[in-house]
This record gives sequence, structure tokens and C-alpha cells, in this order.
Amino acid sequence: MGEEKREKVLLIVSTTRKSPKSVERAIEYAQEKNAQLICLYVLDSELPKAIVKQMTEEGWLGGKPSEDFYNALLKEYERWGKEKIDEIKKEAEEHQIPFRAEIRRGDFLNQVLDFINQEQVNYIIVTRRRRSNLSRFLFGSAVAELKKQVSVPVEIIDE
Amino acid sequence: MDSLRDLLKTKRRLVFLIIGLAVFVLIYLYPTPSGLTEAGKKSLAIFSLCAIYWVFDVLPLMITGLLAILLFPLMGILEAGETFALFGNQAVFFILGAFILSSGLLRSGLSQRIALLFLRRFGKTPRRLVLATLLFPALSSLFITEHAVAAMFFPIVVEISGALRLEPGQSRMGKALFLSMAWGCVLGGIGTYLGGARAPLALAILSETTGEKISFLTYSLCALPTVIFGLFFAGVAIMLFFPPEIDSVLPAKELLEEKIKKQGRISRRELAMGILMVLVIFAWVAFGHKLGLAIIALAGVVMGFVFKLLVWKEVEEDVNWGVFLLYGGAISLGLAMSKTQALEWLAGRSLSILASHPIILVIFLPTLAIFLTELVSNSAVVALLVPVGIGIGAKIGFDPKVIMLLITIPSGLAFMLPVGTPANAIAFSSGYYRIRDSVRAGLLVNIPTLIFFLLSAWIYWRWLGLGF
Repeated sequence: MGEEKREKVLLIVSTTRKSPKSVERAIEYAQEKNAQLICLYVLDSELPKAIVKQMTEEGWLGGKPSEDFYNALLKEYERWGKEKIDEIKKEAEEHQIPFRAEIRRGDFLNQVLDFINQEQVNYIIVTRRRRSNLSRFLFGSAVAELKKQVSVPVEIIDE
Repeated sequence: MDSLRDLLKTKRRLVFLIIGLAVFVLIYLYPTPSGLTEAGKKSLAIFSLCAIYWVFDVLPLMITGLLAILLFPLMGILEAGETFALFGNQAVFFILGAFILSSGLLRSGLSQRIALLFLRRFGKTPRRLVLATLLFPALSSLFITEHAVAAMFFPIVVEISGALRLEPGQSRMGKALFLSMAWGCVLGGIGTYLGGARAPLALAILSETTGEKISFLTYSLCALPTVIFGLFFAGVAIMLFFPPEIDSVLPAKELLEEKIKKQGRISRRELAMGILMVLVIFAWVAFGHKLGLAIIALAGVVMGFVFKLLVWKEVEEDVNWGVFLLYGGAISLGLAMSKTQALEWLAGRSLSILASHPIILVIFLPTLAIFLTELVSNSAVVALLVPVGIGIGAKIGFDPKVIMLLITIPSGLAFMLPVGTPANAIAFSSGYYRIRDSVRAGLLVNIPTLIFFLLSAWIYWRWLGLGF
């Protein structure tokens, strides 16, 4: 089967949403459907931005130390992202699954929606952070929002 | 259901903005109760508005401060000239000088050099490395603001964790290292006036409302036993909850060696900046009461520029000038509440149970401060509780200096939540631990530290002439 005709399975991971279970499931599903596995790693900027705000507004740090911290943090998140992608790639290769990956930086939901529009994937597997139902109800859930906004099936794996 | 969730999520700020305004208008329109002056009622209205905005983070802290500065002259409580003159308070210039000197110390690279040498010297086994990661930020935060120490130390701990190949979210050693960093900063930050903005702010409120002062040395002597015992409790909690799972720290040692080698010999700027800082601290301790903390701080800054140890461009990049707006607002709030006798009225009426016995007050104020600071900025806790505490204390003849210390020291002790203080948030962003880790272990530090603090206040402070 040509690569362009294969189904595309999208595995979404981010700095705060990753679990070995979702990787296992994505490999299993891609193998079952003889699909291509695409991994999107989002360097979620929401947490670093919130911390920089706290550093400047409560810690009274100036622009430079806050910016240095922000960059150091995103660099570290990028390192995690690359390591995670290498791990998944290795597993995909072991199972002879065509694989490619992309790292994006920014708001989780916006980046994922943008990528999905661009890639036209057929199936999505995403990890959901371990949080209380009350917290989800009060502060919302980006994963639930994602499920609402896309037309393809979304499989949510709890951390 | 959805609308409530959306309201909480997206309109939270707007909701509290309106609640704050509604409370302000209600108090303003309510008939003035007996014993309270018209100006006192207006001060209470502004105080309530600022309290809601500070606690619920409706506006940035400094903008709420600016709002207070705006409202006092506008409502005829303080003269405009008198309000703006509060920016000339000694504490404002002290914090200005301290922040500029901190910038010089960090930019010179001296603090990073000492950090690396300290970790290499003491971090020879996993447990020792964790303890060194607790102790170094604590020692540094006695001299530099704790948040700046956390920001400087964070990349070092990240690199060490990477070198040791610790798994974020899984490794006990990783959790121990990042919690140690955060708690070291938190504990060191309460030790002197230099650890953060809150202690000089409390000093400014104290001096403007009562005319009393606490010297650099006395403040430090009152706080340091809590720092030492807090570090002990923190070390025990970390080792109990997160005993290191690794046997060797050799890769970390190699990394530190490499970084130290890369730094080369100590530069003239590092050496001179270190000497200047030692001289300034010595002057604060020895002559602070006579010359004033601000004068010494500014003299240090001038010397720094004379000897080209400080660079204005770097200072501009490192110092957040918004702190002065918060100071102006919080000091004017304290002064207006005291001058219009709103504090006296508040103490006499709504908080009479607290004022009924000294012990209740002594236990209540620090407990409230320590738990409130987990959720609210510690500068805001000080800005709100210090004037009220002084008012209640005055009712039963309590030394206002003791009240200031009872609130200010615990208001820095946030161990559990990332929102408590930027040092916790910085450590949390590493992804090595979860909130439940810091809550469980943090509670084990919070409670004994609070009990020790209360005992030291009761027994030890009287030896320093601050009995109750």
C-alpha cells in the first residue's frame, strides 16, 4: 500500500500530557490499521507563561531574568520532546510502522487544531492529565475541548 | 453547568472586579457606624476593594497599589502631596538599592560560581547533593531576593537532573532536588530584609503607622532560628518522602567540574562585587539603625557605579520598577487606615474576639499568614494583615513591632502550592514533581515550622526585647 493511501494516526503528546500507555496504544492501533503514525509534541507555553507572570508580578523580577528563565525552561521542554520522540520512533521502527514527528511551541489546543487542519488525520490518540473532576469542571479541559472541535475519532488515554 | 464553568474560567477576573466594586460602593453608601469617622469608612471601603483585588488577582498587584494611591486623594482621605510623598519612604529606597545590588551580584557571575563550587564541595553523594541544593539557595536568599536565586539556580538543577538521567515525574531524586531548591529559597528568604519585597514593605507600614522601626540585625535575629529549624524540617521531610533512588552522583560531579572549568578564574568584577556586598551587609548590621537602611543601600549602589561594577542597562533589565507602585499603595493604605482610626474601629468591633487575649492573637495571626500565603502573593498578605494586626494589637497594648514580625516572617513560608511563591512555581515548572508531592511533604514542613516559630516568638524574642 502506498504511503499516501495509508490512514494517518495522530499521537498527541505535550510537556504535561504524556504516558507510556498512549504510546503503546498508538503503536497497537497503527499496526492494526497498517497506518502511518504521526507524533505531534506540543511544547506547552501555558505553564511557562503563567510562571513568568508570577515572577514579574509577585517576585518583582525584571524582564531579562524572566525571559532567561522562560527560554531555559522551553529549552529543557524541547529536550524532553526530542527524547520522547526518539523513544516513540524507536518503537515504531521495531514494529515497522511508518513514522514522522513534529514539535510545535505554543498553546496546546491552538497548536493541535492547526496541525490537524493541516494534516487531515483519521484518528487521534491523546493523553489526559490526571486531575480531579472538580478541577476539570471548574477550569475546563483542553482535551475535552479538542474532542468537541474535531470531526475525527479521538481516543483519550488517562495518564 | 457549562455556563458556570465558562463563567469561572473566562470571566473570573470580571466577576471579582465587579464584586470588589460592589463591596466598595456598599461600604461607601452604608450609614457611618458609631465610633467610625466618615473618612474611616471611606478608608475601609478602599481597603476592602484592594483586599479583594489582591487576593483574587483581579489586577496586577502594583496596579491595585496604584488604585489605592489614586483613590485616597480623590476621596479626600489623604492630601495628594501627602500620598505621593509616601513614595519617599525609606523602605522604597532600601528595596531599590537592594534590588540593584542583587542585579550586580547576579550579573557578575559570582553567585553562580559560588553555587557550582558549593555543590561540588558538598554534593558528593545523592543525599548530600539534595542537602546542598537545599542549603545553598537558603544561604543565598539571605542576601539576594529569593525569586532571583530560584531563577539563577534553576538551570543548574535542571542540568544536574539531566546529567543524572532522572525521569521527570518519576524520580524521587528529581523531586527531592527541585523541592529542595524551592524550599531553600523560601526559608532563606525570610531570614533578612533582603529575601524579598515583603519584609521591607512591612517595615514601611510599621514605621508610617506607628513611627516604630526594627533594625536589620534585630529582624534577622528574630527570623534566623526559624530559618535554621525550617531547613532541618525541610531536610527531614524531603528525605522521608523522596529518598534518592540512585547510588552515585558521578555524572553530576563531572558536569559541575566542566562548568567550573569553563568559568575560568574569578574576575575583577566578581571579586569587587563580592567585597562591596559584604561591606554593605556589614554596614546594615552595624550602622543600619543609626544611618538608615536606605542610605546604606544607596551608598552601596553609588559605589557600585563609581567602580563600574554596576551597569545601568543591566539594572534596567533586572529590576521590576512596579514594586514601587505596590509599596506606595500599600503604605498609603496602612497610613490612611491608621490616621482615620479605621484600624482602631475594626479592631474594636469586628475582631474583638482576637483582641480578647494575647495568646489568641499570637496564634491566629501567624497561622492565618502562613496558610493565606499559600494562595495569595506574600506581599499582598503583608499589605493586608500588617495594618489590621497592628490595629488589633494596639487595642490590647501589644508592641506593634512584635505584630509586624508575627505576620511578616510566616507570610514568606509557602511550601505547598506553586501559586504560593515564584520560587515554588519555578521549581514546579521542571515537571519533576506534582502538586500532591509538594502538598504532602510541604505540610510536614509547614506545621512544625509554624509551631517552632510560635515557640521562638514566645520564648526567644523576649531576650531581644520583643516580649509579649
